[in-house]
Order: sequence, then structure tokens, then C-alpha cells
Amino acid sequence: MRDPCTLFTRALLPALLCIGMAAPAGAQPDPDAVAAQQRIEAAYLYKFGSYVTWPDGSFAGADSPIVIGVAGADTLADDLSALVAGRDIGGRPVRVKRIQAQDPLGGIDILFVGTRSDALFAASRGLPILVVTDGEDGLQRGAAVSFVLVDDRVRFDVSLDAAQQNGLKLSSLLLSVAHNVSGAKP
Amino acid sequence: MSTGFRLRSVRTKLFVGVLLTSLAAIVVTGASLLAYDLHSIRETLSVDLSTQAELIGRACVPALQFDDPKVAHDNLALLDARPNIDAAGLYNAKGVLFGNYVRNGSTPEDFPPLAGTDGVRFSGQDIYVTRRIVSDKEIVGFIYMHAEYGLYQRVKSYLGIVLAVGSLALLVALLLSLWLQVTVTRPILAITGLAQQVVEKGDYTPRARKITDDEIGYLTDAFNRMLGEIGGRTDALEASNRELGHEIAERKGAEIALRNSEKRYRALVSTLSTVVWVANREWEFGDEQASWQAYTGQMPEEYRGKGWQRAFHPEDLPALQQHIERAMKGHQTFETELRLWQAATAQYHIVDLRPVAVFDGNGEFREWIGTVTDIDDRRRAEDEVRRLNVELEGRVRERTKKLEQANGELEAFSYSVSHDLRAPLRAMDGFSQRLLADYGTKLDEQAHNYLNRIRSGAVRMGQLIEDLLSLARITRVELTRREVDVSALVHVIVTELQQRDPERKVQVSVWEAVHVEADVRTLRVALENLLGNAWKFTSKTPEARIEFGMMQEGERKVLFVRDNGAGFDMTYSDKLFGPFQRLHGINEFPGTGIGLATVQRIVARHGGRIWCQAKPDMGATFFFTLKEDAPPRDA
Repeated sequence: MRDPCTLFTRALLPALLCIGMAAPAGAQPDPDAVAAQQRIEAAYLYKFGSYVTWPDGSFAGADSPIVIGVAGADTLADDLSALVAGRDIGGRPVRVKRIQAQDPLGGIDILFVGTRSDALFAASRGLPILVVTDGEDGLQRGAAVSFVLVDDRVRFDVSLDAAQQNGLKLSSLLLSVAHNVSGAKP
Repeated sequence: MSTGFRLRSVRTKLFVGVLLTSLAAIVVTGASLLAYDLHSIRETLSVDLSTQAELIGRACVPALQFDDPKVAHDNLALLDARPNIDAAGLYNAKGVLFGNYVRNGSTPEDFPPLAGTDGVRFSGQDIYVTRRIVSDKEIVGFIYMHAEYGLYQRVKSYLGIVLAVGSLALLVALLLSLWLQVTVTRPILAITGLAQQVVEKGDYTPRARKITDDEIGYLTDAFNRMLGEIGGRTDALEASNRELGHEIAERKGAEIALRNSEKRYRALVSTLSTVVWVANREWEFGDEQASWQAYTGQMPEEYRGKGWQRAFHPEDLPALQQHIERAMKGHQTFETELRLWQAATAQYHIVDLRPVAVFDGNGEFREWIGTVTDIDDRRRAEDEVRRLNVELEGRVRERTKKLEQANGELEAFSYSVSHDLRAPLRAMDGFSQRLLADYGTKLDEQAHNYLNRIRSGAVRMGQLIEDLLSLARITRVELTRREVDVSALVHVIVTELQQRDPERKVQVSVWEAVHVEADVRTLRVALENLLGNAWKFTSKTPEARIEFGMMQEGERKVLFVRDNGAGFDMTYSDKLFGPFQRLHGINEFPGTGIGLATVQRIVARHGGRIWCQAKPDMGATFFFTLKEDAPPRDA
């Protein structure tokens, strides 16, 4: 068993530090800022797992891994891979899988779409997959969660409808920190 | 007065005792309750605050994870619902303050730079809680909370409660103590009053009234019983005291007597020429034997222990040893004569040793005390007396023999007198008679007269010899006492006298029935002499009277013969009873002068006395007794 403190200092702390340093860096996108933004997004991706309830039968067993698929964002995938190494969510290990446009999405639990292609959105519709993307129009394109920059901070919008379509339940705690929540309220 | 004080004191004690007890109970209970409550409040508060922190922390996890201070602030703002929480701070995993909350109206909080561990800290009025926020085994941040503890207020309100409850309790205690006074003190007061009365008056007759049936009631009963007991004892004690007083007086008297006796004893011992010694049970001398030392010249170191025995003659020691052994067996006294060395004369003296066993008051044999009496002189004197006695007896025997011889000679002499002396007298008388008869005519008147005088001298000589023989016989004759009718005897003698001298007319009066114990033969001789004298000495009295009688003086019988004849001068009375003593001329009254001597001898042989009373021409009275008188009596 690994010490959470050690984990914190080794992985999460540097990520947060980067956020702090990136924030005052200014509005102009520069390579460092983009890299920082991607590391934060990677961290957020990993953390979303804690607030999502997948439908019954999505996992083979109690310790079946949560698989995060990453499409069109290799840097992010790298960051994420480094981050999740040795970590788990609610007792499940976390795997990172790079996805191509035509790849089948079976076994994927969280999917980050970094490309402008809409095929993956369509392919994932109806599957128990939390689809995440970035951009102001992410939700319109069919994602459940979309990263946005608000005051140089990485925030995210949530579409409850999209999540619901894929049979997912999002924790209200997640919604409380979302930038915008759209979709049907019960 | 003192009772009042004492009672007041008991009452006060009871009151104060109840109050103090209640007060102590209240204070202790209040204090322990307060302590327990404060402790439990602390516990509750710390648990409550920790839980609050945990909840808020959990709620803030997404805010921290997704870096949303606004949400964090909103979450913290929920604490408005808890008015006791003054401030809260949310820190991220790095320990940097991420969001905070300060209650409106409370002082701005100094949020501390965070110490990274969970903890609860109390500081006076305040409580501080710090908790880590953990999600999926990772510390995502920390939460810090500051709440008002409210210690003083709690203590204050507690004290108020304690005060109120205490006052109530004290009031109840007061009432209780009043009740106690009534139920407890009053019976005690009654007993105490009685006790006071008993002590002051010494009267044990009153009794306390039993009010209650509890221990005090029992006490009352016990006190009453005790009074009865004391009353009885006091009477007994007084009686005993009186007796004791008598006894002490008696004992004092006895002590004085004892002391006097001891003083006498000491005086006696100190003046005694006798040696007094004291020995212990083993016949050993102690140190102090002053008289022994003085007598024997032995020094204390010589006579101490058994050394004293060496002062006795060595030949007497076995006898002494025997006596001692025998005495030790039975604690018996003994007396023995031994020879003891006398220092003064430097020779052994015969002494009388006499020890006595001394027992103490319990009859326990204690010691020997004894005397040594010098009987040497006495013994010598006794020996001398014995020797003299023996010598005397020899001499007496010799004398008696000589006397018997002399008596025999005297007897022979008497016979020779009676025969040998009478013969020449008879010859003188006979030849005188022949001369008168044969030659009477030839002889003149003168010759006749001479011859008659020779004849009467011869007769008188014969009479004299007869009387002397009689006197001698009286001296030697053995007396045989028996009862004699003296009156009858006197009658016989008087008749004889009358027959011998028929012409005389004498008035004789004889007391009748005079009886005495006497030897009849010698008594007759004495009476013949006395009556004969009376007859003779009244021969010239015109109206002669002779009287015989007896005077009883107590036991003593005094016989007397009285006449009214010639009498005599008392000047010569002492010569009267000697032989050959005559107070009258031979021509006046004839007689040999032996008669009264004979009477005196007879009376003396009877152990009696004879005496007389007389006056010339007034008669004479002869008194005599025939027994020894107890008291001597002068005539």
C-alpha cells in the first residue's frame, strides 16, 4: 500500500503548483500555458471518476479497472498515464488507453476526445461512457463534460442530458463545482 | 448556667453539623457534577466540532479537487447555521489558505499557518479543531475551525444552579435540624436537667420521663436504672464509710497500742541483761546482734552466718546441733543450758538458750528470735544452797538425835523428880507430922507454928514439882483436836472447885453451848488454871462473881474468863505469863506462879493467843483463842 502523502507530494502537488504558476501567466496562449492546462485537464479527468456512477454491469468485477480512453491528445495521455500510475478510484485501478477515430469503444469508461471529429461522440452515444472534451461548444457536440477556460482557470461545463443518455449519474458534488450545468433537472 | 451553655452548644453542634453536612454534600456534588459536565461538554464539543469539520471538509473536496474557491467559500458559509462557530479556514494540500469563513460581528480571525495533523486544542474560552481532508486515500486539504467554548458562562450558570439547589437543601437541612432538635435534643435536655438536679442536690430518687422509644428512650431507661443503682451504691458506700471510720479509729487505737507496746518492748530489751538475738530460718545470724556482740565479744564478721555457734563450749556443740535440727523440723521452741563464752569474765558461763519461731501475719514461718540468759550465778547459788541444805539436814539429824537423847534424859529426870524429889519431901512432911503427933504436948506454940510451916512448904514444894512436871508434859504432849463442849467442861471444873471449898459462895455464870476445836486434855488444864485463878482471887471479894463466855469476831472465837476479884496493875501484864511470876504476895494468894505460864503454853501450842484486861480491885478478864488469827491483834 502506498502512502497517500507520498503520492500527493510526488504527483498531485506538482500539478496544482503548475496551476498556481500558470494562472497569472496571462491570456496569451503560450506553449507552457497550454502544457499546464493539459496537465490540469489530465488530473481533472482522473478525478471525474470519483463522481460518476456507472450503470450496473459495466464492470466485470469489483476490482475491474476504470479505463480512460484518450483520443487526439497524446501529451494529455502521457500526463494522465504518469498520473494514474499506482492510483485507483474507489478500489479500482485506472488504465489509460489511446484511441483512434475508428477504434471500438467497448471497455472504455471515460473518453476524452481531443480531436474535432464527431465520430467518436456518435459512437459513444448510448454506451456507459463519460465523454469529455474541451471547448465552448463541447456540450453541443455531444460531450457530457467540456473543459472551458474561465479567468485563466480550467473549469468545466456539464450536460446532465448527455450523461443521462449514456446511463451515467453524476454526483451533485461534481455539479457544485461545475462552471455551467445544462440539461434536465429531475 | 453551664448546662445552659452546654445545651446550647449541643443544639448548635447539631444545627451546624447538619448544615455543614448538607453544605459539604452540595459543594462536593456540585463540584463533581461541574467537573464531569465540563469534561463531557468538552468531549461532546470536540467530537461535534470534529464531525462538523469532517462534514464541511468532505463537502469541500470537489472544490479543492477542482480548484474552486468560490464553491469552497459557499460551503464554508453554511457554517452560519452554527452560531457557536466563530471562524473556519480551508487549506489546500499544500497548506495554503484556500477559503475562509468568519462569523459576522466576531473579531477578524488570524488564521494560523497550518500544522499538518488532526487535533483539538482548547484555550480558555475557545476550542480549535484541525482536520485533514482525505479523498481516495489522498490528502486533498485541511480544515480549521474555531468555536466558542463558553466555559465561563457554563461555570457561571452551574454556580447559579448549585447556589439555588444549595439554598434549597440548606433550608431543608434547617428544617430537618429543627425536627432533630425536637426529637433528639428535648429528651436529652430532660435527662440533662435531671442529671443537674441529681448533681446539685445529691438526691437519687427522681426519674427521667421516657419520651421516645428509640436509643434516647433506651438511654433514659438506662439513666433511670443507673440512678437507682447509684442511689443504692451511695447508701451502701455511706454505710461502708461509717464502718470504715469506726475501723480506722479502732485501727488507730490498735496502732498506738502497738507502737507503745513496741516502745515498751524496745525499752525492755535495751535494759535487759539478757542477750537477745535474731536468726533467719536457716539459723544464720544477720549483721545486727548488739547484745550478742557485747556478751560474747564476737565481731559481726565472726558471728555472721553460723559463726555464732563457735562462741559455745566445744563440748556443748553436738547438743546444740541436735536441738537446732529438732527445732527446724517442727518450728518448735526449746530451752537448753549451754556454756557460752563471756568476754567480760573471759570464761564460759552457763546460759539458758531459748529460741522462739516467729511467724508473719499470713502464718508463714519467718525467723527465729531468742534469748540467752546468764544463769551462771544462779546456778552457782543453787549449788551452794543444795550443798548447805545437805549439810543442814545432817546437822538437823544430829541435833534431833541429841534432842531425843535430851528428851529421854528429861523424862528420866521427871521421873526422878517425881520420885526422888518427892521422897525427901514426904519424909519432911511425915517426920513433921510425927513430931506434932508424938511431941506436940512438949512443944510450945512457936514450935508448932514452925512445924506447920515446914509441912506447908513441903506441900508447896510438891505442888511446885507437880506443876513443873505438868508444864514440861504440856510442852511435849501431842495435841489431838476435836470438837469440845467447853461450857460442859467449865461446869465440871466449877463443880470440882465448889466441892473443894464448900463454904464459898461464888456466883458463876457460864455461857451455854460454847463449842471449839481443841485438844480436850490440855484445854481442861488451861481452864482449870484460869477458873482456879478466878476462884482464888475472888476469895476476898464480898460478892464474888465468875463468868465464862465466848465472843465471835468474824471467824475468830475469843473465849474469856472474867472475875471481879483482886485484879492487878496492867503495868506488869507482860510479866504475867512468864513462869514463876507472881503479882501478889504468896501469903495474900497462894500459888506456884506456874499456872499462867502453863496456860500460855497450851494456848500457844494450839496456835492461839492469850491476853488480859485488869485493874487492881476491879477484877481481871483473860481472853484467849485456840487458832491462828489471820490478822495480828493487840490487846
